[in-house]
Amino acid sequence: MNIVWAWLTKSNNGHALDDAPGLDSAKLRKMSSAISDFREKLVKRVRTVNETTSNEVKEAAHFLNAVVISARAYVADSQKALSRLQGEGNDSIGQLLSKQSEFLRKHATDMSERAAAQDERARNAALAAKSIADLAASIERLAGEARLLAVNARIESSRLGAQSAGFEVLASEMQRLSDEVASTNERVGELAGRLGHDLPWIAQHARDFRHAMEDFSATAGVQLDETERGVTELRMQVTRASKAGSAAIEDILRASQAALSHLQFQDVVAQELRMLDGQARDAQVQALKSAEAEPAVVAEVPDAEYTTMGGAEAGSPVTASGEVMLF
Amino acid sequence: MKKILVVDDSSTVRQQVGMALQQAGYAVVEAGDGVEGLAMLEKGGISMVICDVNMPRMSGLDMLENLKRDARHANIPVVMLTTEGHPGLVERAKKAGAKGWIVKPFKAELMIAAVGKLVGA
Repeated sequence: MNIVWAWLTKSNNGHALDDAPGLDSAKLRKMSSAISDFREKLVKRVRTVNETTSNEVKEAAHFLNAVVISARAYVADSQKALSRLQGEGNDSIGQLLSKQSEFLRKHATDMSERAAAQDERARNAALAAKSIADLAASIERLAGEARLLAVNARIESSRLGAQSAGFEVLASEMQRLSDEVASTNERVGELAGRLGHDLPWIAQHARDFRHAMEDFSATAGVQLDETERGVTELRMQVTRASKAGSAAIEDILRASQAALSHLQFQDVVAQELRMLDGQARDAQVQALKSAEAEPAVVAEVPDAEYTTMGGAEAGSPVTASGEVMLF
Repeated sequence: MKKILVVDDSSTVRQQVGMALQQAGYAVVEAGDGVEGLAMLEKGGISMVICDVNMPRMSGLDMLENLKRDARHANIPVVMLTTEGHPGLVERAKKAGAKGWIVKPFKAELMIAAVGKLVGA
């Protein structure tokens, strides 16, 4: 076995056994048999290594893949949330906030304008009520004069006697009309007085409401400006956080790939064993040839069958792993 | 999306290469040896082939030579991905029309860069 090991660890030029002293045919056959045993153990070992490595790498790849998938999903979710906040699309938070701000500003302005119009009309109505009261006073004065005129007409009529009966009737009608005018005017005066009392109150409240709406409009504008500034700041922060998150995820992906690349090195162990087996096989063939064995005996040498993870041919050194050559 | 055919008798290697390519935005189809690889090419739509050298039934170099003989596939770029580094094999692949040679264990970023150079993103 020492000879076998010595041969295996030498460079395999295919002629070393010919030079070995004291090796007769029987010894060479015995050596071939030893090599065969060695190869069988080697094959078994390679299979175990392959199986274990393959399982471990698959398991690791499975977990890393899960990490990668989760990371990708996280990035996708973050980008979706960011996109909603950034104002892409009609349903984005940015767009909704802008719409709401616009709506509030428009309505605040509208209500403020309506309050101003109401205030103005209430003041006009108060002025109109005062004018009515003034007119009622004028009418009262005119009715008084008409009544005085009717009394004088009646006095003149009584002095004229029976010839002025028609004039007496006219004076009475005049008295009645002036009384009715005075009575109606009194009611108008009362109503004008009530209006004169209520309308200033309404006008004052309209003015207060107008000021309140103007304050609300101004305050709402300031608050909406602050909200928009806050949203802009939030967008910037979320963008920064998203970028940092994406960078971290990229690091995870790179680390996962690196981990998988390192796991691939496990494959090399099986490949080296296979190379060793290739050299053992050559030694076995050489030993049988040197012993001048029958071809049938050579054919009985068990052929190594592997399912290596990467596969390698005997004698081909694994160098410059990861190197990429483009022709 | 560009579709890359990964041919390797190791499912783990196929999985790792596939994952790296998919993360870079490529679609991936797989084959376990040269015979399966040629059959996948017949289905069409392949932009590039990444192929192991040592495989059962048909080696990567034999598959490469077969592929290049077929006028329908001759223009598809092929890169060999293998533990092999023997100058004779590299030369044979180059002569047969391979566009590149990557030595395992591969570095994902270098492989993706090479793929990007040959077929674009």
